[in-house]
Amino acid sequence: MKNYFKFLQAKIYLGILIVLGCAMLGSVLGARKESKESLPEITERDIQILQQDDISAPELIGVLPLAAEQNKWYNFKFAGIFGCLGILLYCILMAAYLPLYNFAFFQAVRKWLGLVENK
Amino acid sequence: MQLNLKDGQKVGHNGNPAEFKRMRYVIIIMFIHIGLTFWLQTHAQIGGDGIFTYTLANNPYSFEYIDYTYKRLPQNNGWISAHILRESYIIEDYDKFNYSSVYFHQRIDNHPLLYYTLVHTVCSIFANSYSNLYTMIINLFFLCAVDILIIRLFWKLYGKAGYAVVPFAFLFLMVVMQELYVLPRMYMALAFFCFWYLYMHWNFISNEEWKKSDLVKMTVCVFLGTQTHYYFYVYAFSLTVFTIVYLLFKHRKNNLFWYVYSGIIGIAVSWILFPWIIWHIFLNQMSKHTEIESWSLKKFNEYVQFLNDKLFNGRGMIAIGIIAVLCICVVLLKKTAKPKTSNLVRFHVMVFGSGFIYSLIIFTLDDAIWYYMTPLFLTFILWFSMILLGLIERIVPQKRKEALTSGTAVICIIIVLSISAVIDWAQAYLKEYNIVVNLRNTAQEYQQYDCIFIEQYQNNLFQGYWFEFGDYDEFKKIPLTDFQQKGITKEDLMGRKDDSGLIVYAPMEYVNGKEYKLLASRGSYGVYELDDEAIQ
Repeated sequence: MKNYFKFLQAKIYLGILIVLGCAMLGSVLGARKESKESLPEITERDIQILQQDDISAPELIGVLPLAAEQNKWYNFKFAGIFGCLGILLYCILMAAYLPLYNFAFFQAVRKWLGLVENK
Repeated sequence: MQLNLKDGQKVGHNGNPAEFKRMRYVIIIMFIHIGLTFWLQTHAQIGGDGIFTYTLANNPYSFEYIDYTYKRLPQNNGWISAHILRESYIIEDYDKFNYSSVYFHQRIDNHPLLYYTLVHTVCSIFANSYSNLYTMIINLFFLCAVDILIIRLFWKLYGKAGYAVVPFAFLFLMVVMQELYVLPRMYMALAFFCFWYLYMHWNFISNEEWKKSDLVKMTVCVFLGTQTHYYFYVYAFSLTVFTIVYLLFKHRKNNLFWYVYSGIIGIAVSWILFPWIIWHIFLNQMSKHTEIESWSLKKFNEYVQFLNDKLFNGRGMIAIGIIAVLCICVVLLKKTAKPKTSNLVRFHVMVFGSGFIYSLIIFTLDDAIWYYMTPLFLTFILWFSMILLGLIERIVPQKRKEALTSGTAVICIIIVLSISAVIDWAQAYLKEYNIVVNLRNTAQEYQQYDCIFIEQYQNNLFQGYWFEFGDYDEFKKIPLTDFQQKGITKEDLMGRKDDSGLIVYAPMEYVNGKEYKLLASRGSYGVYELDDEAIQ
């Protein structure tokens, strides 16, 4: 187990790549979902602010949609979820990779990529 | 003598007091450059580009194009509160540092986030006010960064502080650079990030051992560059191709792995933050580049003419002549070249190649739109400076070599670009500024008045007068066809909340009558004070 955590630490650059790759995929999928949905237009919050005189607000609140309210932020939500899945994926892949690390095939791949072995 | 900076070593005199003195002169030149640029920026004219910049960065409403939305604005016989127009480009207390609106506007526009975020930030710091300088400050910041990079790069390339004055001569005298300094868009930022990316590549090719910090900087540069303008991808691709070929050729596989890795990380973070790039580029959200003109002799001539105009102030033949004379001198004097390091030669090739490929791609897509070519300008300045220095170094005597080399190069640049070209440009620019500021001052002087705009055509910018109209109390637009038929009538004036004075923006050729008193003009439009008692 200790070796596994050391291995995870040693290959953290792969982890960063996998997590960011998954988060990127999640972000794109989230944006895709958001682009297919209609925009919120005028929101309940806009109406509430319009009814309160003491809050500073744009002159046409409740008449024109506000830009800030149109984002649903699905891209960040999905990026977070997929990023967490990426961490899990990294852990699983490294658990599978560790016993195979010294196989000739993987040594040849690392040599081909020019990755320096940690002594 | 090549000078490779070691870890922690800073640009400096390296123990040579003469170099230290020369570095001080270069820094003084840099401050003069920044000072002159700032002075130029205080005379900036914003124009249509600037209107889009301020409105995309600061508009609290979701609309992007005012002409489509205008009908939805609350109107009383066509009169609206001019404050609504003002809200669209000025940050007020309710939307200070509200980046969610910036994010949405860039989703529906075709640009990434960074520049508009910076504009929104500066405008939020100076909320409830407008100034051209809010965008100019951002250009100035990136210009300072470019100047510092130039000084550092020339020190790294040659180990001679004085050589950095050569690119500064270009920065002072190229007309296109002056236009870039005062353009209220993201292109000065784009120029910086592309140049920073190029700067890093000198380290990459001249050192086999790369520091982690260099790779982190590359990731940061890629992230910020891709968030500045999508054409960063094009320039980075152009340069990256050369780098990858070089690293493969040299069997530097470890370097190649980390180089590609760092770039991918930068792009991944960029896409996580703003995945709408997919819609902007790959799904072509705004239907750009649908009619690309194929290359022909005519297009090639236009390309050459464009390069001549922008890179040489239209004096490309003189540049060719100067280079020819220098080459002849080198041959006649039979000077053997000091062996250049192969790294410097490779860097020459990368600088030239990346700029050339970039210019070909962008000219194919966008023809002669000058600001899209921004990454080419600093690349060209670097390359041509290196060419001049390389040739002149071979000719000048050893005594006072550095001063003679840089001085001769500067003289060559002055001959090529000509001081009068930039002076003529500046004079025309200042003349136009006086007209624009007169218009602006008129709007501010009469800000308690109501304003009528005789609209000749719609361009989502109120024909460039948006920021003037925002200064007034109430606003109404009347189509030119209606104005030509019946002028301004009593019925047109009904619906205002009070009987303030009236200012009319109208094409001068259609205005007649003593009731119109001309206050200012620009182009075909005049700004008139209307005597409403004379109206029937």
